[in-house]
Amino acid sequence: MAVDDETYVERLAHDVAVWQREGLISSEQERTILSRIGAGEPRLVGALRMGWLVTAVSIIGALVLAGGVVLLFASQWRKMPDWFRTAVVFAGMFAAYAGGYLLTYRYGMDRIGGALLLLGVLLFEAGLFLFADIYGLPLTTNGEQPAPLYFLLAAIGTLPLAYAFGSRIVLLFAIANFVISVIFWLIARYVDTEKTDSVLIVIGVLGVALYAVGHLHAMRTAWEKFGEVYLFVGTVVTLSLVYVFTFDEPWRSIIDDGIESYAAPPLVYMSIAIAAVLVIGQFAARARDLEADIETGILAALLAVAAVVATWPAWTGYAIVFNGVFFAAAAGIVARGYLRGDERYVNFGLLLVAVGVLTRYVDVFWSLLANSAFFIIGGVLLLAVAFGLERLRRTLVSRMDEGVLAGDAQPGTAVPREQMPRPESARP
Amino acid sequence: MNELFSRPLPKLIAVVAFQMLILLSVLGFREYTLLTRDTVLLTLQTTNPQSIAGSDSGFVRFEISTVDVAALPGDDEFMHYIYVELGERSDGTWQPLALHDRRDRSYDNTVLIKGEYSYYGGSPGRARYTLVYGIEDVYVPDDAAASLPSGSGHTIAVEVKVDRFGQSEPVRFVVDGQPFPLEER
Repeated sequence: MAVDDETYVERLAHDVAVWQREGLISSEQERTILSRIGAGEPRLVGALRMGWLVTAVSIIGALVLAGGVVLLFASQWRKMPDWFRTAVVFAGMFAAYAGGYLLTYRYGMDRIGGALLLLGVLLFEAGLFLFADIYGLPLTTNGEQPAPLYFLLAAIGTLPLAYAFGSRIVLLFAIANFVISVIFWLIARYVDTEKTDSVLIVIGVLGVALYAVGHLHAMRTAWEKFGEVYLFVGTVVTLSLVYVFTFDEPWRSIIDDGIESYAAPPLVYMSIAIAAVLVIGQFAARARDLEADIETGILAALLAVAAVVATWPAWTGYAIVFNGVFFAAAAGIVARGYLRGDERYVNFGLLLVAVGVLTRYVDVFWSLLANSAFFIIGGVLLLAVAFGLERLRRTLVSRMDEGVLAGDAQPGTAVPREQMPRPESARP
Repeated sequence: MNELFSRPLPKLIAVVAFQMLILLSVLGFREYTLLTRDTVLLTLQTTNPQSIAGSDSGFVRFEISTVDVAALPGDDEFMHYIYVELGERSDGTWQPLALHDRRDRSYDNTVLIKGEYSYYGGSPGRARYTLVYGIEDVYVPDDAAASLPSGSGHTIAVEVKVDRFGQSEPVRFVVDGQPFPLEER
């Protein structure tokens, strides 16, 4: 069985268990689907479902091991001679990559092999900081936040590995490093200046740009799966900044600091222009449909809001605008999940709604209510929200699956593989 | 070539080689900063050469170990470090021209040296700070200390290499224009 087929079967085995648990399909239907993919034996089904566990444990193992190595270096580092420390960094990287290669391509253990590749990447990044430490280069900017250069170098060194070996977790790591390097660079460059607040917009714009880059990946079939990672990071980065701007404090601080209109540095407008080019590019490259039109419209609207806020920042009403943007985005993500039949979007969107409601509750009522009343009402409200969200989620998911299954298969009968609902994580 | 890099092992070797290149570039950058260091001569507060003789001598204090914010242009509030902008005097020693919170310069042909500061005295806006540059724990080794002149009234300085980040490394003592070896404790 090819790796892709094997992955598909494992995901399907995992997903049908979830569907059965949620009552979307019966136990009999679950067994029928599993039989259809040649996994009727309970032990075989169990083995298939363990694939995800192996991946998760491997990745956690790589992270823990890398953390342990860094801690060891941190505690014993100064006692070792320079040449030995340098050799240790290279040896660790080589060992991890060689192990990853052998496990993946000689022994077919691609999950653990992939985790060792991730370990190699983690050691590479640790090596950058350790080398800087060994050879007396500054690790921080102005004695505060870590120097952004090392994160940028980590991203540049990691990206080729992600694309060469099709690793989404390594790609996620690379993009995260890039985003962190931009944030630290902005802080180092503009901290404690009157431009500090306006350059925050660059982070949100970066998120929009990453999202557009994600769609540009759809132009090449082999890169489609990488596009999802960009879309995810782009969404998280943009919404994180939107979330920060839903509070009153940043806007009050802008007014208190006396920041005037037209004070944003050219960098803000340059970043908006670059993001706009990417948004237009992805729109031109994508197949024209309603979803593409709406999505591009939202991205363009976000950039327009960013430009307006950067130019005329002193207005407390922006908090309301960004609350609107945050909840509209959450609703949009839920709607998208529903239309696409993808439960992941529905869950993520509903999580955002819950976070937004909870935040506003704390923001508004913390100072108005006594502590006990705050927690009692908050707890009741949370339970009510959870109940409402779960009902909504179940309704949406049920409708999604009814739509997919309707007409193609009768309950209890074998479903041809090509007509079966695609597993959650294998959907486009 | 495309066929070669479609196989996993050559791909992995290429990627790892690229990462090694990036790591080595860090070393290369360090070498570059070492090669492009400036040399400055910093005068000590003491005028008695015996105070730097032998490993039993104490920490040295430079003229720039204490700075008066009101007397120097530049910033007057600092986050973690003070970058002292140094200019060369006609006698070859270097004096502070300005103080900065960051690695900014106010003048041409100057050198920035980074110091950790502690409050020394004065009032707000007229504060004085004591600065530590990490080059204070130095002495003339015992075998060379015998050649040091005695008595006070001498000009004692330390030749220091300063890199682009303001990090300094002491090289040797200069007493009345004569070089003396230097060791760090």
